[in-house]
Amino acid sequence: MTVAVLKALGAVFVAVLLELAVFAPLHIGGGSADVVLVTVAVVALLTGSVVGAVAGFWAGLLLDTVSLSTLGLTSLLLTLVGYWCGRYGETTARDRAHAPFLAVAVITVLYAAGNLVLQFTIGEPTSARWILFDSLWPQLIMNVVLTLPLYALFRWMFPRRTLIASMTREVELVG
Amino acid sequence: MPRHRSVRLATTGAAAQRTASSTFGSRSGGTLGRRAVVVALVLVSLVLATAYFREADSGPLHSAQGSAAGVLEPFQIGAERVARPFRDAWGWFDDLRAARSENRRLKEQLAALRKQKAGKAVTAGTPIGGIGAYAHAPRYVGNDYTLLKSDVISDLPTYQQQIVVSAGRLDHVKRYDPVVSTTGWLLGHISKVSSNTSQVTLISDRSSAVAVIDFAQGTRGILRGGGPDSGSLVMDQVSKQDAVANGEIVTTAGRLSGGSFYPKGIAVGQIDAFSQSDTAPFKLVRIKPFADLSSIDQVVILLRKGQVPSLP
Repeated sequence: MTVAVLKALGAVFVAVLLELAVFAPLHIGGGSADVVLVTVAVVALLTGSVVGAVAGFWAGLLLDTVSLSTLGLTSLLLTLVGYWCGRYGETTARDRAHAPFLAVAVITVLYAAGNLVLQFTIGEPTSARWILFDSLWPQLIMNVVLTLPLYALFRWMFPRRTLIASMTREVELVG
Repeated sequence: MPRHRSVRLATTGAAAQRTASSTFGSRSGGTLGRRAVVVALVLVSLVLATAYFREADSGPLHSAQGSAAGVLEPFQIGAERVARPFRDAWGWFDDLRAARSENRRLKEQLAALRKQKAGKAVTAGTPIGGIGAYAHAPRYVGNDYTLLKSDVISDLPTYQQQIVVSAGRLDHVKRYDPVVSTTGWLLGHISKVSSNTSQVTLISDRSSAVAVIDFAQGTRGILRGGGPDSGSLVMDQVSKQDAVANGEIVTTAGRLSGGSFYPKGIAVGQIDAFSQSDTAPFKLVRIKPFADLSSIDQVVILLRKGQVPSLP
């Protein structure tokens, strides 16, 4: 578990640097890929909800720090992203090839909606149209495309036994 | 048969799998532990956000964030330098695609600037932005400002039009210092400062407000950002009696309009369109900014030598 957490934190750190240096400045069709979100989702799918939540929290903390924005907001959203994807990976997503793509697509939409709600809550000027329509669709497509290479990479980094170790905590002897 | 395999794992593999299990022995313990971790992280996030939101810029969380940003800055700069050739290659292809229309637009701007300079006598020492302003820095900034060139290290695609640059308090950057492009166009102002990095709020941000003047007509107004979904800026508070014309240059108005932290004469953009209705109290004037606010690699910070002017 500790090794998995450390590897997840390292992967998220690299993802944040990649996001800042490569992906954020590349605007395609009015949006850009969110490699940090995809990384948190995929790592959580492969490692479980606890590691996913910790990775999400760390990713949010890093993003809020480097962008000098309100600490804790992105952490809150990405913690929930990591937890939800982790639970999905531990339960219904097992052995399903479409699971990473579905998880990333759903999470991209929910993350945008959550971000919009938080921005409204803290009184920042924002636009539902821009967040939920203009920039969301290109980002959704790019995130799903990014899922394939990232899932392959992280499946190699996090062997399946990491998730099994997480899942067996819930095994009951039923017969 | 993946589902069947899972069932066997649950029914017959319990003893074997238990050795792989670690901290939590039972289902209730595992579930409880997992939920405890997540609830703790969510609570920490909420406490952080609330405390950060309520404290002053000099508070402990802001200071800790600034220090952490300073630690991360070398990694960001390293990643930026590694990625820049690839981004430049992408930008080259992108620019090539738009080169023809850009060339036409720049020629029109140049012609307008020449006409404007010929029509208006610019006295020596009058600050004037525009093409080549950075190259003529001493005349541009006079005695009130010194220039600091800085790299953009964070430009996350959020609705808030803010970027982070690699210069901070240690480089004598102060809050509200004006920021221009390397060609002299107005970009925004410093909104947060840490020891090694600073946050720049661009003029396209919805919270931005800049006192501006139509250089040719003398019409004054307040320039407001429209966010990333608006391709242009809006010049607000323009009286219906005031004259405006498409294509005219808009610059910062300085302090004459009642208080501004931007010096007078920094070129902002061109009037793109304007309209007025019987019911609206003011004209609606759209400004197309000279600077490409969606792609900024470097900025020039005008370091104010004196105190920040008192704002209205």
